[in-house]
Amino acid sequence: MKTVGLGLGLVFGLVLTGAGLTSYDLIHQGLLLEDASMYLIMGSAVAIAAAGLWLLERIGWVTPFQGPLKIMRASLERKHIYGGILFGMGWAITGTCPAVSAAMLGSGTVYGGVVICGLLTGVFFFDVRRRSGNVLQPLPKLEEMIAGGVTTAIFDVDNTIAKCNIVDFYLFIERKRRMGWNWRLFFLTFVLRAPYYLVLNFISRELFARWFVNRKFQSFRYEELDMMAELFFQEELRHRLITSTCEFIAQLKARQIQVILLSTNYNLIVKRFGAYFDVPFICHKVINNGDHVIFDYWDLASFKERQIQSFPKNSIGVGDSKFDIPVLNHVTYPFVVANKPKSWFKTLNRFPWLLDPTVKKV
Amino acid sequence: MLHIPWYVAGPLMGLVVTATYAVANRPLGALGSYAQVVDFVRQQPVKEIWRVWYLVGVILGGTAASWIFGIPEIVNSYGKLGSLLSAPLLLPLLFVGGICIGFGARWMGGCTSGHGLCGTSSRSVGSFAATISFMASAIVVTLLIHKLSGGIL
Repeated sequence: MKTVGLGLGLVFGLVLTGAGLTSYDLIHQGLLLEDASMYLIMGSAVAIAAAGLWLLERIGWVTPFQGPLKIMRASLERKHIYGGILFGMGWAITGTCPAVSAAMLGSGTVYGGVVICGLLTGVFFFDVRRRSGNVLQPLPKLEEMIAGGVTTAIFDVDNTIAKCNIVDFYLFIERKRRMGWNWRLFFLTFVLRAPYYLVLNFISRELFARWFVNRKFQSFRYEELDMMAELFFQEELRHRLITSTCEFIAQLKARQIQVILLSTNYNLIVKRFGAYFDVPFICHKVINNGDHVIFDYWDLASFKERQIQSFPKNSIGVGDSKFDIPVLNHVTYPFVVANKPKSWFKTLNRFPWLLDPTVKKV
Repeated sequence: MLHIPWYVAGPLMGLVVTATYAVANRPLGALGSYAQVVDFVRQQPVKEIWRVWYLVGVILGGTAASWIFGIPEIVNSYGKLGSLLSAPLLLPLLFVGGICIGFGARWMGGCTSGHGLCGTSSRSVGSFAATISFMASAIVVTLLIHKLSGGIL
């Protein structure tokens, strides 16, 4: 493995240097959009590698050292954008990147070593910061919780089990109803109107519900909406389940702990999750009123808080955002599923346990 | 100094990326090597020692290339930037630039080779975003430098 690493590095360094990428001028001209060779090299490398990886995956390649080939793919996160902006600044200043600076040092440019020193310092700073930011308690063992007499677990399913909300559902329905250009045109105008809804949601969720939910959905018949919700669950939500939450629910059910889904979303959608996990649920209701529907949202603001208080205090609560923490403080074992930095919880006195929100591909 | 034309260099790099996946089941990222070195300094367990050997390989590859292609040993030059700034100015600038690269790369979880080559060729959404982000940022900052330096750089 070491020899292979050395060999791969040798070839890579040789090509990098030979192609002239270790030259500040070439990279700089590339970034000034005056010289295309950098982009041509990257583009052709990606094209070949993409074809190669596709082939390897297709034939089910087994690697000699690490078992069957399994390519990890990152989903979009904010860190990619922010980190990228900082990285780009460094790249623009120095004209090199991590691999190139090593090849640069090797080819005799001692200043490449200075970049490497800075680079190591940067990595060091990041790692130290991340470690010191870790103020969370270790996850308690399920056995300990059961020994503590836990019988109920309440899951907030607004976002936890699937990233679903009422706007998503609305867009899904419109996409099914409109086709091709009609849909694209609608989507474009919707994007332009979206800030208005976001502001409403920001001011008050109740206002948002009254303006958005009521106006958009009331023309539908109940059966129609119910069928759409089923489709929405089958086509979209089922694929967005969060692995750690699913596993957690399965574990709890195996230990005979009662799992209850709690959501401010509507029963049309939440009942699908209930059926999927085979557990009861508490949520808002859509009322069938003959040829149209009525959305019940009279107690949206404190819905979750009041509902959770009706359960024994000695329960497990699973939420998904900072806003769930006041609610989760009514239970003994609060969890939050979030991929936020640990410093995110700093201002709070009580730290819920974090679950890793890896998105499950079903 | 183009000793290897792009249509040879690019595909070769693509093959190295594919080979790394085929052998090690991991993306080929130089950043990972630096992270291993930092782990070692911080007395944390070093998980992927082969990455350090990969980095050594890249350095030796650079040496080999300059020997094969007869690239003159340019000990204390740094292209246009080197001719514009004297060493007392250039060294801190490069060091700070290095910190930006290291911190930023660790933040986004990869570097030009990790995200830009491996991530995009494995069709990873996060890597596409990262690549677009750092490319855009680098181009904007470079154009800014070009403007601020009055077109010298």
